[in-house]
Amino acid sequence: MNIDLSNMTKGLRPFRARPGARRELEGLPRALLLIITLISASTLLMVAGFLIFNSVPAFRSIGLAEMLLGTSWDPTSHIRAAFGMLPLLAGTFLVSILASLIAIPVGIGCTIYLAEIAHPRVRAFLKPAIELLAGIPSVVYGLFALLILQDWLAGIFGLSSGYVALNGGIILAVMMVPIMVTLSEDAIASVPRELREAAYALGATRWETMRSVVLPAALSGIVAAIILSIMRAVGETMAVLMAVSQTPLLTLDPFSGVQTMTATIAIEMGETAVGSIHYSALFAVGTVLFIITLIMNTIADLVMRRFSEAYQ
Amino acid sequence: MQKKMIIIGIVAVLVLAAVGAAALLGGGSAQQRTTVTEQGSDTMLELMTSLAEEFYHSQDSVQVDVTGGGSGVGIEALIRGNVDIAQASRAMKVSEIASAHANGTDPVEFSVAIDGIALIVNQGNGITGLTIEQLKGIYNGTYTNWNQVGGADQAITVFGRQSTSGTYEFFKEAVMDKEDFSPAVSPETGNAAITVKVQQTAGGIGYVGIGYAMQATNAKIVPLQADDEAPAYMPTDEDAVYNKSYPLARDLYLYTDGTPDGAVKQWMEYVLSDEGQNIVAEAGFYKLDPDSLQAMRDRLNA
Amino acid sequence: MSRRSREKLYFALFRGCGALVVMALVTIIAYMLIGGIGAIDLDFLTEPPRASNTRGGIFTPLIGTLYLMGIVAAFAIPVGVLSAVYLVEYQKQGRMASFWRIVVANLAGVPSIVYGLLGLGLFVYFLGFGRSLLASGLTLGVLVLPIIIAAAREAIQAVPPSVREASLALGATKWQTVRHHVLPYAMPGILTGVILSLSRAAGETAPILLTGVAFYMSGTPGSVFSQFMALPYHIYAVATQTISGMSGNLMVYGSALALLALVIGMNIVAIVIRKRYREKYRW
Repeated sequence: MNIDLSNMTKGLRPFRARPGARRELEGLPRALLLIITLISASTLLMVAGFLIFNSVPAFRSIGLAEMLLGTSWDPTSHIRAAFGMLPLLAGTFLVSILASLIAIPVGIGCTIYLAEIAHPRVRAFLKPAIELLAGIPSVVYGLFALLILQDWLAGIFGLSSGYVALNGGIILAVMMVPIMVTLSEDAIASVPRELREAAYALGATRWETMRSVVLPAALSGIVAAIILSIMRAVGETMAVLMAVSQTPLLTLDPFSGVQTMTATIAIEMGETAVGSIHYSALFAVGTVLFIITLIMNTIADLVMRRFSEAYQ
Repeated sequence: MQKKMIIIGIVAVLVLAAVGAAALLGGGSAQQRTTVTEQGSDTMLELMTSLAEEFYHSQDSVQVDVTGGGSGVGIEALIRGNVDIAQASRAMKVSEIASAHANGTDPVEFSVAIDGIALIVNQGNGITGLTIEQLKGIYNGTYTNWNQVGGADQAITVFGRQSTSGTYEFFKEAVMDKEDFSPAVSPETGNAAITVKVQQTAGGIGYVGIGYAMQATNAKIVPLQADDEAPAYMPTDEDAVYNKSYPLARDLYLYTDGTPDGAVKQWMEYVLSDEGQNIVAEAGFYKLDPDSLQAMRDRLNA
Repeated sequence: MSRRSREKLYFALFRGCGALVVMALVTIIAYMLIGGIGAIDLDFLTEPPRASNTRGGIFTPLIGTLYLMGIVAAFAIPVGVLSAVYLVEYQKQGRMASFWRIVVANLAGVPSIVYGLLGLGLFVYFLGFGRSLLASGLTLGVLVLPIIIAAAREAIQAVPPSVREASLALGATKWQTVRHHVLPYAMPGILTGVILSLSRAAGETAPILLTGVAFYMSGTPGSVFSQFMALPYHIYAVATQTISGMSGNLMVYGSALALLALVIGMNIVAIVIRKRYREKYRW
């Protein structure tokens, strides 16, 4: 502990003021702070309230089951406008799953390398580099997918068009990895050293120690990291909008265009007359997206808490 | 050391914030221009941007902000009074006009350019022409292979526009006969995206404003027939577009709230001036014919 | 396979994963650098876009992005930091405290497009700001609030209780203790969070798409109620609305490079501050 003592003397200053005045002033910051905190915390309630309030008309006139399970999204049809969210859910699901299939093994491998294998000097360079990867704006990832990655994909798989779900999946994977690595590296680092030492003392190799002792111990932290990074993929708009041809098909074909929930809102919002069913339906898409992220967040939080309870 | 870091950090943040704030105030006083806001058609974005840019340099009292989103977005914004002008690649619908009146907006329509929507296919495609009926079959999913419409054995990849697009609406009216698009039609958010994707995709087809089709390098325009009997026309055929014998010829519009005055009128005058119309031609669209142009100028001064 | 060689195999695999991640970073930055470096000069930064955003510079979008950051900073820094102060220093531990913690954690996970919906419904329509700098700035401010609160809270919590106790023992009030002793020590941590959140705001596209960004403006915004151009949206617009942009021209790569430089520069500053701070104080 090294504390600059010169700072301490500042505490003496108040004695020059009248003690009574001081106490009067004390209530003010407290109330002010509470108000400000309420404002910032109420944003979550505000987001939820606004989404639900605006999506009620759609749910009411179309029906909850029809909206969530309807297989056709065609809000501007002249014959029969359809607001089935299933193709959009499938689109979001497909690109997120593809991204996870790539990002989870690579992310965990990279985490283990970073936490256990890498030379401290490599680590000192690699960790910030991965943080930078997390800081790159999604539109830049989108641009890369739009101009370059799709071209590679079309070439490799002999596709007529490279703007397919897989293109979105790959670019989302690149965006997921940094979050996963940063969070799960923290989890591995906080596994108590005694556990490792006990394993080494029993004659285990580094890999055996890691596999049988460290990773199981850090598992819940790693799982939480994975969930949070999948959340990033589910909620991403620009990268998928640019990487994938947004076709509202109900398909799980990685070589097809799909339409995600986020992109639907970005493309269609604005056109719609405020208060129309389409406007309300887009808020409904936002509500479903919001609920999905709340659920994932809660699961991650529960898993995480189990982890920190085990090692504190 | 610690203090120094804090100070450097605070200064950095303050500088950023101050640059923002100061530039905001400074920018406000340095530039006394009145702003005209315009929103809508993506097809007209390049055109309106070019016009706005030249207009900006031609005088020093007005500037024009151009935003896309699609014709529907612009019309909705005009109805709500959020913008001064809506740019639209289709005429306003009856329902939209009613909604405008209900909101106290009085939309006045100005044709400002003529467009022929071009059907473009990849350069390697051997197709020599399509009828409107065949086109409809391609876009509603009846035909999925080029050999069904007289081409080579190759799957068709169909590119369309997002539903906010005026071109989408116009195409739906003129070609689809109110039938729905196949869900396999990829709704692109701009003409440029369609053009480039058709250039890259061997079996691709897409519809774009003529101004974009002219810029395509590895795509070609398909001649269209109204029906089996009618002769085939190209959107590059000026006469066919003007007399509407090209099936997908259309006007491009600007809508104002009431007969414009002040800055909005100044801008409209520029768009309808000879100089403005020359920019229309440079952007690859067609100028208004002299009669219509005169009619629009008269409407402006009504 | 022996235990040793199995270990070697796995380790090689993990090294490969690490290499893959670095490669992804290098590839993306290299493409932007190679494609865009030719565009970057003083004129590019000080000239407005010309010829339908296909030539000229990025002055107007760059200024728009700086304005946005200014509004975000003016709103989110005070609100975020003071909220964190309340949560750490004044909020009693218990149910309420864990409720706040969950609220902040959940706010951070809400997709940016959903914040866009909030901004559209609340700021653009309900409060009547229209599509404007103010509406977009506040939307982004709300979006980065949880980042600032989390960072500030962590930094304030890291100040040891002995500092507070010493100050209180000398007769300082709670607020004086916070102001003169807790906040100064927490400042580097708070600053890191602030810079990171501003860089996040600078790079966001989806929320401003719904709340006020323009495709083209001849001049810079006249007031907070004007529309604006912004760098991330400019990249998207040029890439998808102009044929030359979608074919990957200098303009689009140059804009991307400029945005990368801005955002990565801020990230590096934040990382450096945090590193120094960690080395400086080991409580």
